[in-house]
Amino acid sequence: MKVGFIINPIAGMGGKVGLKGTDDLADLAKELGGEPVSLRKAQLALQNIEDTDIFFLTCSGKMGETVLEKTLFNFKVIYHAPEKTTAQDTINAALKMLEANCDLILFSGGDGTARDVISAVDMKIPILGIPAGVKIFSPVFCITPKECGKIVSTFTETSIREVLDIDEEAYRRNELSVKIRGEAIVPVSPGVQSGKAISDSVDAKIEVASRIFDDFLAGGKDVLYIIGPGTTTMEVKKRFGIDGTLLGVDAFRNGKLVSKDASEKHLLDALLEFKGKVVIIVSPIGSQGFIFGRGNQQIGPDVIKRADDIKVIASPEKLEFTPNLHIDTGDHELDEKLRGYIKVLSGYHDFKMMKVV
Amino acid sequence: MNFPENKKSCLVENFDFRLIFEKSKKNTFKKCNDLPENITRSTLSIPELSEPEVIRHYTNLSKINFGVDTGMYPLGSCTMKYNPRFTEHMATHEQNMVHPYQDESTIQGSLEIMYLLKKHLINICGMDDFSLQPAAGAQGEFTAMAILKAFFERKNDKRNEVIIPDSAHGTNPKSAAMAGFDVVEIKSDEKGYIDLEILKEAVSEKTAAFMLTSPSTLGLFEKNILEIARIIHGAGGLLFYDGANLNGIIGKVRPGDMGFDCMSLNLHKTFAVPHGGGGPGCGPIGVKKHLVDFLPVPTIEYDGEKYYLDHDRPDSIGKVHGFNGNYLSVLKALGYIKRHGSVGLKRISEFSVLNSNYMVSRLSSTYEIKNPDIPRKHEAVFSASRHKNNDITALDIAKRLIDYGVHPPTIYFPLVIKEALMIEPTETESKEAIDNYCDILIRINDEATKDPEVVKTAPHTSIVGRLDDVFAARKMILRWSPGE
Repeated sequence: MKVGFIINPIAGMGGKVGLKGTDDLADLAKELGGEPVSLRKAQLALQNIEDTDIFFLTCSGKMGETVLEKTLFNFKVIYHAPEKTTAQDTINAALKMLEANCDLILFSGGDGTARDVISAVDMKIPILGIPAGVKIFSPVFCITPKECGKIVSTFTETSIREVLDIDEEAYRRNELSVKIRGEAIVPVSPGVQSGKAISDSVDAKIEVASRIFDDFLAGGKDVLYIIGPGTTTMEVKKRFGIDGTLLGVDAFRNGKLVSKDASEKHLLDALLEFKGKVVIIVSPIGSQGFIFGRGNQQIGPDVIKRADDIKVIASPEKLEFTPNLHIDTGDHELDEKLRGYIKVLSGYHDFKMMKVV
Repeated sequence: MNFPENKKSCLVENFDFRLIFEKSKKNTFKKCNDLPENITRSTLSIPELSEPEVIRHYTNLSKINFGVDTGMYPLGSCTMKYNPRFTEHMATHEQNMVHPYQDESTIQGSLEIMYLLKKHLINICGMDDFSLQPAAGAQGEFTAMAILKAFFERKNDKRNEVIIPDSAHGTNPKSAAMAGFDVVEIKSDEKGYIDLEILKEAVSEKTAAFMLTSPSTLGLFEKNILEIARIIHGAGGLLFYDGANLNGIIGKVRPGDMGFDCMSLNLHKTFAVPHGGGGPGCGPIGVKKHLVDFLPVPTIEYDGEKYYLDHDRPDSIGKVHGFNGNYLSVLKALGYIKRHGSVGLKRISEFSVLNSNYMVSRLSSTYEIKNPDIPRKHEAVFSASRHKNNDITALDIAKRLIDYGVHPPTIYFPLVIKEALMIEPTETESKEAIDNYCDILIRINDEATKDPEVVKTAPHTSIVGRLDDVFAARKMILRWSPGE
């Protein structure tokens, strides 16, 4: 089996620093202290491939070679990448792999990287994404890097999936606009995340927000809320009268913003001075079910560990298409600790027992 | 089986859709001048028509209607059994022309009837007491939840969560929420039974109750009920039994013996009291000893000499219905129980179970059904998912059944089955009637492959085709008002 292997080395850097994507902002992300996560995640995926006979065709340096060198796999560099890589390098590499008759292209990145790969591959061979970007909405990505490794050597069937991407500029301006960017052939496996776009009811979100607000009033204690992105959590921000962000993470306390569109560092700083109760409120990404590690990487492991209560909220419509919840905080031990059942609030009086896997 | 001609009959084609008020001819009725001015009205909003016009209006309406008196009506979870005529005769007897304000000494017979029904329900269900007040199943559920709320409040116990499986009737979570509880929904296991692992995860010191319907909406008897009761009681919670599906177990097993602390019944399902448009319904609730004090007032009691209504119950949750409940439903149910006797009641569940399993055996090779080898109780849920290939939905199949002169089953419920067709034949259908229904469904399956268009555009024979049911549910118009 011949597998093309591409890493987008800047993917995911914007996540923890609150940039919602790194497409045109790699330098800024680095300045803000963003770490390259896609190499680490790619390595994790490779470690979980059982078939050692796979032959990899890859790119030089951080776009593949650096990671493959650390494994026992045989590989050949067929694309020489410059020191500072751009989207065009992903496209060029994918085209080379297509010419070399690869059976599959395995890439590490986010929705932006997926778009670049499909623009070159054009449905001619299957692709599979290692989730390493900030936005990972497309159903071409595996649920975890680990799953990715397993699927590469075991898949027998493929299906056509849509590649989605958010308009990053609009995203940073607080507008959510998910667009279908094309199609891809993807291995069929429960380990590949689903991507059904769903709409949900405003009424349920208002009910959920009212409940959280009423619980706060009834509790009467000093609470620091850390609230994740999304339209459901936005209702909560509105109910508390907080001028929060739709797509960012906000922290507030006693009706006052502590940190708007916070980065992981901002959150940790806010927590450092605070001794009271900490409540994290997040809503899973529809149908994929991620509660941590997708689109809200600012709420990193150290922030989660400090929380006294984690409230997961979602409309019943969203839950209907979300069989299980997922986490990928990057901290394996913490992920394990959070796994099990959780009561998801889906109306003023309504909870649903959901499994976090 | 006759195949439909796929065209409307003459009556349907030329039907006069006007309401009786719209047919009214002004000034047909003359004002009576013999009455004193002060007791006459200047306007009266009644249709002005002659007797033959009124009779024809309603007779023609009945011809385009469908009911249990017309044919098989296997609406799952509704137990649309035949309503025997003798109970109707009893109910229309002039001795029942009593007024709720009459002195108790003058209505001892009526009170005895209520008391007797209560005693029978206690025996049938294994409870310690019953209230006959709630007017419907959902109101019964709500009343029971209000009782549980009062029970925990008196103990100063802050429990506020009610656990409900995802296969439950939609009324369960709403009843619990209306009583002020939080609802925790749990997923059923692969086969449709309660998933004990999730249940154990869901129970906590906050658990007030678990609401369970058994047989479930999938027609499955909850085989782990004793273990479930142990888990809930072990956590300090109580068990509520939704008696909507009692028809599948009546006379065989009693909710009280299975560990339930309280329950609701639907006299208009299990005990053959008319329901739907033929109501009113009646949803008695049963409780074990520890909950008796909280029953709604008045309760019906007997002191050894006379029957009386007890209003003096300090811990009662109060009134849930005007006067004493829907008395004629009580009367009909008592007649039904008396006529059947204990052997007859057992036969109800035996035949309702036999009928649904016979139906499964006839349909399981044509319509998808989960685990066809597991015996069903009173009903079974098929799925039309397989027909999606031909772009045929459960709704299309339901509409096509109308063309064949039978009533569609419940569709899209329970939610745990996609494209659900939920069929409950009840014990009152003959083998011939069930065979006919199955033959029709098998033929529609055939049509769905060979001529999907005829199914997709059904019904072809009825007076109205595909109504906007969402609009109808959101904007209910239940009576005519002058000026509309």
